[in-house]
Amino acid sequence: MDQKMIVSQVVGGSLDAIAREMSATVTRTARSPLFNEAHDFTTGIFDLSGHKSRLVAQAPGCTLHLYAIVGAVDHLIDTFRYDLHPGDILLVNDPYHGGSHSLDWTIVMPVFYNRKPILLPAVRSHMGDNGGPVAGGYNPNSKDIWHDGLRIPPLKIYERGEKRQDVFDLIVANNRLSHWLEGDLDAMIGACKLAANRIQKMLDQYGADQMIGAIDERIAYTERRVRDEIASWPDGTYSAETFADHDFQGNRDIKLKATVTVSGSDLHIDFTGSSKQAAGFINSPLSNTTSFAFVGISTCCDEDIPINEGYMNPVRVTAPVGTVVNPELPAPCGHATACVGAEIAEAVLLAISKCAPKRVGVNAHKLPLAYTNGVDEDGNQWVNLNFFGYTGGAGAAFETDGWGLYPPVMTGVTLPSIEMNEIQYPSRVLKHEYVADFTGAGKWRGTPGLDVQIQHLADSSTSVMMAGVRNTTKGFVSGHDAPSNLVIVNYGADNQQAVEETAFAVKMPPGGIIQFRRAGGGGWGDPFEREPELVLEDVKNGLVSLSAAAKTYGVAICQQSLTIDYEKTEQLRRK
Amino acid sequence: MIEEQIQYSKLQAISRQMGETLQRISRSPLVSQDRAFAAAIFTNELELAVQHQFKPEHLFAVKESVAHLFDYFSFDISDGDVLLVADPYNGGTKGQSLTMAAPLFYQGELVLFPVIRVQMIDLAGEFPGGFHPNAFEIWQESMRITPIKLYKQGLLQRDVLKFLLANSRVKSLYEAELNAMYACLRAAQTQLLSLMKHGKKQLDHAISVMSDYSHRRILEQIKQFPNQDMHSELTFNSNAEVINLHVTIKALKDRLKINFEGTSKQVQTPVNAALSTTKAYAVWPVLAPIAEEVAINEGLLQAFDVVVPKGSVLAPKFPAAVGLSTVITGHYIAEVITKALKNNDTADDLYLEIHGPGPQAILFPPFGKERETEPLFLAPGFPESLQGWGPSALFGDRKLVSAEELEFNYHFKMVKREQKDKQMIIQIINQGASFDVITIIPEKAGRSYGEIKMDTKENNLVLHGSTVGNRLNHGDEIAFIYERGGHQ
Repeated sequence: MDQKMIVSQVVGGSLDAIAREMSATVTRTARSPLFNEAHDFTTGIFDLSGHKSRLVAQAPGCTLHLYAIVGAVDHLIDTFRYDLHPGDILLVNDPYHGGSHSLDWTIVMPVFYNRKPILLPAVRSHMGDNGGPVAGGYNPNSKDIWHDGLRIPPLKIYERGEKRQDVFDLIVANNRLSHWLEGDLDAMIGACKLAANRIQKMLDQYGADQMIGAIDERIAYTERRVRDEIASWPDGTYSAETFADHDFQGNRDIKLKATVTVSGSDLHIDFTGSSKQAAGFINSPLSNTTSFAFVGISTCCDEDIPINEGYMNPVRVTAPVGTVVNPELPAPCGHATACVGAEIAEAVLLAISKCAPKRVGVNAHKLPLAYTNGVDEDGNQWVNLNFFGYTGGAGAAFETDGWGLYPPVMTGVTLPSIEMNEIQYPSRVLKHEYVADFTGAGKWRGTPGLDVQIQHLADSSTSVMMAGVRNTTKGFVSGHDAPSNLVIVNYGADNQQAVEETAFAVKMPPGGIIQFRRAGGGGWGDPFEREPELVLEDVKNGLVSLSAAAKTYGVAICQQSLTIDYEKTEQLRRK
Repeated sequence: MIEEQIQYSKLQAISRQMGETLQRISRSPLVSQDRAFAAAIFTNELELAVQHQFKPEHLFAVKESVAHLFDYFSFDISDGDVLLVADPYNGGTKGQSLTMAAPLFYQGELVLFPVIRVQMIDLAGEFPGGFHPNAFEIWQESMRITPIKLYKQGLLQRDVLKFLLANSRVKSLYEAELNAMYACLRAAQTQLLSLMKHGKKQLDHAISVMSDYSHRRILEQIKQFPNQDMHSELTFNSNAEVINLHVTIKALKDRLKINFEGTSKQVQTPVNAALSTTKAYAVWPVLAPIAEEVAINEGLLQAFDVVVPKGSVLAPKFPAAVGLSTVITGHYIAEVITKALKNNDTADDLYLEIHGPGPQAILFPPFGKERETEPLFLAPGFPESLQGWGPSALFGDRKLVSAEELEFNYHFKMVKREQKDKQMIIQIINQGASFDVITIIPEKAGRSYGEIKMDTKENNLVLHGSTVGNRLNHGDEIAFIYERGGHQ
């Protein structure tokens, strides 16, 4: 390994460590459980190459944020290119300024060396509220971007090291969770400042040229690795389409079409043919679309490849303006990070499955989102995203079952502690368990589906946004699709309501229960090719019933002895 | 006194010209037609030197918004700063009414400075225009603009401007309004400097004298009130809420005390009135008989002491919605005041029955189709005042929209605008594209304030309350029926 490579590794490793330290800082100092429990944020470091930013390092976070930060940083730099100063800290959330949905806010702090901005630590986080018509920011009635909540185009919240208190207060005033928001913003700012200090020391030690050289080397390494992967796929053009159930405004089966062209080590993903932008809030701004395309690509590549700009260098994304994958103002985008984000990744993976079937399968999830809000004894509003209800949905991949709960799209997002959740909210998780026969079967099956009951102990209001009901999460290479999600509000009460598509602000009395039947992920490969011993294991663990073992997997298991009847199994599978 | 009057008249001329200029250069029909604005000049002690206004809601809100701005920025105000606030919980009335202040410095000291307050066409919120009949919290109505500097030491805070503009469905018009307000304030600053160069002390003295004069005139009025506690009650409705206003008025030696103790708690509908709104509408019935003769200034405001229990419908706690208060609740506040004075045999010439709310509508193209969605605030007629001379005073100084304008700008054909008996009836046919319709109609058991009829291809609607979600398509008809003074 030459010295250049060694420096590259050292610098790159240091920057990754700084990104991880940023992440730990946010986790430990933020107030919102979305940060300190669910880790619904991502930290990264960028540099400037001409007028464009490049992702240099990142900490494991919410993968779907990753390439949306790139767009956000680009817009911030573009806006303040001639008005950037040491000590400036910038904020943006607007989907039409490089964002995804307006609940995801990005904070960036340029670090200067020799009077030039060289590196930019950034944090992107999902905030608990964003003002606008509804608490929590997910508004199924949304018909334009203002229905999604506050739009923050590129804005300085610190100028030359001084906090712009009036700007800060204005932002906080437009949020229902101001008691959290102030602390959360401070946590994001603190992480950027900490990173800026670390980076400044590195710049002093190495100088800008050597650092940029090392970064270039690292990006080139990633690019080489990704190109090697793409080059291993046969050249050609592969198309696939999938559908989002609806746009929450009564329009159904929204088409997402991806045409993937492999040409040597170059990959072109073209979303031409996707539906026109939708009336409802499922539209995906370009940054979000690119981010979910990245989710698709990254799951096809080796996990030891450093995540940076090099990842997408071989990839070109085309998304026609005015479509659901690149909408025009004022189309609403509030749900884009779930729907149609999941379908974007799915369409890309379905297309790639035609040329590299063993590389696909771990997909994004179609989640039945339900959030509940109320007011606590102190008069503060609370918004509970009911994380436990829709965690899950990870699909299978070649040689592996869907594991755990979340699919990779949520990589660093963790399942909050139920105990902490019950302290932070007037809520109880009554049930959170795997259920049998509720995932996509396959040679490798999806992660098991869940049966979840969440009870809210105070007067509350719940909105539900269903997905994965009509068009469930896809299986790959003859693997079965996931079953349909199901949510029931006011479960067990006289007025219980099974939600078909959406429910808005359903009132629940103290003790009201939401029942989730959260489907697992899609399967990979023919279920009849699954090793019978694995099916038996699933039966013993209560994940597959005896009848499903026989019918779906072609494995005959003796009910009394819980052993495989190989002869009968062979007969079943021959059919 | 003559010298002071001349000096003061010059100051009034500057304030008036600010308003006139704004009206002429503004692109917003809310300013050019409805005159939904106020212009004022303040002293360095933040006392109101002079104020001109064309809508009753601004009476206290200008002063209290300015007070909040200066409290917020405290010793961080410099020459060239331009400050903004539009927040019912920072001295305002409703979210869309934005106050812009331009502190002025002369020889290094804060001196007289101009302020403008204008109803903006749209500041996001759930519906264009900010009137949301079902809102229960303020964020549903519009963006909250807490105190912020638009200009800092003469330098436009470009990112702040873009932030504000991004939160409006009518960005171009919003920007034009801010520019118009800014231009008027800068012009007023130049004129004020010129005036002060010719004798600042005399000008300060004139303001003090004329403020005292206004104060004395009000006290003269108050002295003639019955020397007793005057009570009254009034009940009105909003959706399913029943709201009781209770007032006790007492004429004291140095002020009129208006106490709303006993009024209903705040409600889950947007008829809650911010404190500045309550004060304005409580004072106007007493002020109305001499409004033409007395300048609006600090002396006038100091003659009133309005007490409102915190958490009541007339001084709600954050974040209650307040959007319909100026078009509905304000009238009931004025009515309950009038009733109290009337019940106690106050002389007829000491107050006026100036209330008289009526139906109005906000129309806008269906959401999400165009980059900008401009609402039309439609009140094509008026409820005749109780005295029978045109619209009630609280209806404001808005110009009646002309049939030609409606036809030219919106393809609405006005086929009838007639007054008969105690009714005014207006019929309009939509000859253009589709509009979504919000109606705002006051509600009170046993009393009609008119109605809005929508004759569409699907159905015939007769609306007696505030609604959202109706659509007026091409060829459909909308009719407004106004009742004189509220029909029993």
